[in-house]
Amino acid sequence: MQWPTGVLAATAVGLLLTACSANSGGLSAAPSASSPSATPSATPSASTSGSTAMPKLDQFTPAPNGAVNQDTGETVGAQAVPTWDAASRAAVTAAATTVLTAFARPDLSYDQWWTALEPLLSAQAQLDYAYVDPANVPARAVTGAAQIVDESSAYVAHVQVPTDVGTYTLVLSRVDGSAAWLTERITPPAGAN
Amino acid sequence: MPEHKSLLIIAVAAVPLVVVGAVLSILLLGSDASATCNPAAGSSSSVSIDPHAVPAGPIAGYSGVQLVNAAYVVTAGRDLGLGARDQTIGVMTAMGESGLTVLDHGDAAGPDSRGLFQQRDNGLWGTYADRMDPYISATNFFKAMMQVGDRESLEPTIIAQRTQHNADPYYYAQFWDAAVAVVDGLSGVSTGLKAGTGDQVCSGGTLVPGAVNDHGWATPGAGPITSRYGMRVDPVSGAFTRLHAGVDLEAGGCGGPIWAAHDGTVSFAGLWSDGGGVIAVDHGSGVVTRYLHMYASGILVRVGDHVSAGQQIARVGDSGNSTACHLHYEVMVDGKNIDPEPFMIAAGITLGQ
Repeated sequence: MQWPTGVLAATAVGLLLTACSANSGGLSAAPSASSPSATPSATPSASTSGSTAMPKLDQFTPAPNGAVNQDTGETVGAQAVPTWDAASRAAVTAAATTVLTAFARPDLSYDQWWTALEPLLSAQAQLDYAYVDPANVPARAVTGAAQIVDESSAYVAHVQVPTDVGTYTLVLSRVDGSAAWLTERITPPAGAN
Repeated sequence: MPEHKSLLIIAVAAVPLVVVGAVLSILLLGSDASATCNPAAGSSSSVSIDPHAVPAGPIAGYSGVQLVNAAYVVTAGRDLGLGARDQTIGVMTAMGESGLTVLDHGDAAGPDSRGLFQQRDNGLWGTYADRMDPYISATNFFKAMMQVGDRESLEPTIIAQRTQHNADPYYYAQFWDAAVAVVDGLSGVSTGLKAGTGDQVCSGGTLVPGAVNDHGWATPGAGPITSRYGMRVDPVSGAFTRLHAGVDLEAGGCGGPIWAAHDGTVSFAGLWSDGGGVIAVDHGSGVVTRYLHMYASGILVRVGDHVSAGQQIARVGDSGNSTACHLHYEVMVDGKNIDPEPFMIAAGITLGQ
């Protein structure tokens, strides 16, 4: 079996390589002189709407489309905002079933197992699940329909999937409304680890 | 804090070295804040427990022979020169595998597993007698664990999983608090290891709750403001096309507390493509707040976690597009950034104070 021991080192290199980028942020003694918005321009309403304690949102001006976020490189307006709709629910339950079907194959060699599983996982989950020996996975089959149990964020789903050893709970996420659902976590039923 | 200052110097010194050779940067992993938030890794923090003089207990629900077995685990770690955190990881792992009992049976996934650590009969863990011996099986566990590199920058449950290769990387975290209680209780030493950190890189340090106002909002970090939201000049084109999409806060400097601004669900937690730490919290109504520049070790939550206003979710770092430790705080509405200052004022919070 080949454990990816180089992953951490590569991450560390990435961290340090980017540390010297220019940025107007940081611990300058005074706010950046180049800032055109040195004081908040709006006079915001202190009132909040409903029981959510959320400020009224229509009083704020969104960043212009096409502007580039200098800290993340993202382009404003380029990402689709996700919502919970029938297509999203169908996509996430299908993704959960697919990933657990790929995961629950203890008879495969590590390389065969990981090749199928890795692209279905988030970057963080790839780091953590890379060290699983598939022979230690107790489940062998998905036995029923996946069910969403937490929709508190349209970016995240907690999904339960029945298997031959009980019900697994998966966490999946998507980075925007048009991105694929990737799996963050595959938690076995209590007592089946 | 002197530790933070010295770390900053190391980080600054590291920059030119990295250009010279990537290999050097591996040696400089200590520039991550993790080195200061755990007890010393080696024998200087090692604890000793005499297996022949163990109280009956119970401690954290463990008693009698279970505590004797914990003492053998701690002793095996000490004899290998391991520090208190590594020793406690051994106890945590044995709790998760066997409940600190020398089991003469395996489980469904591993019928040939035996002993405190449920070591399999695959030649890696010695003879049947070795696997059934608390001290020898713990020694073999630790020798395998010592092959896991850079343990200072990994969570206890991840270290245990990379040794055991079990199917749930986060499984052992639930046993960490009891392991800390048993090691502290039996040794009579306060190791400085904290409950609640079995799934976190930092086993020491303290978490500080933020102040929450009557609207259910909290400041994300202490002031002062060091850079405001707004458009910036693109250094190449000269046009105002670059957006400083958030507010920079000093937030206590390196290691300072970062608080969730409002109740919500963590929708992203990890490293961005440039290596910068990012946490996003979805508050519903199309509102997402984001927190940037933490080190991986300073990210205290995972995707899917439900967080509450004022909960400490991270420690301030200097990762990604950053030149010094600070918090970059963003507010997004329907996927687009807005100026966080008037938004937070509307929520009753004045940033920078």
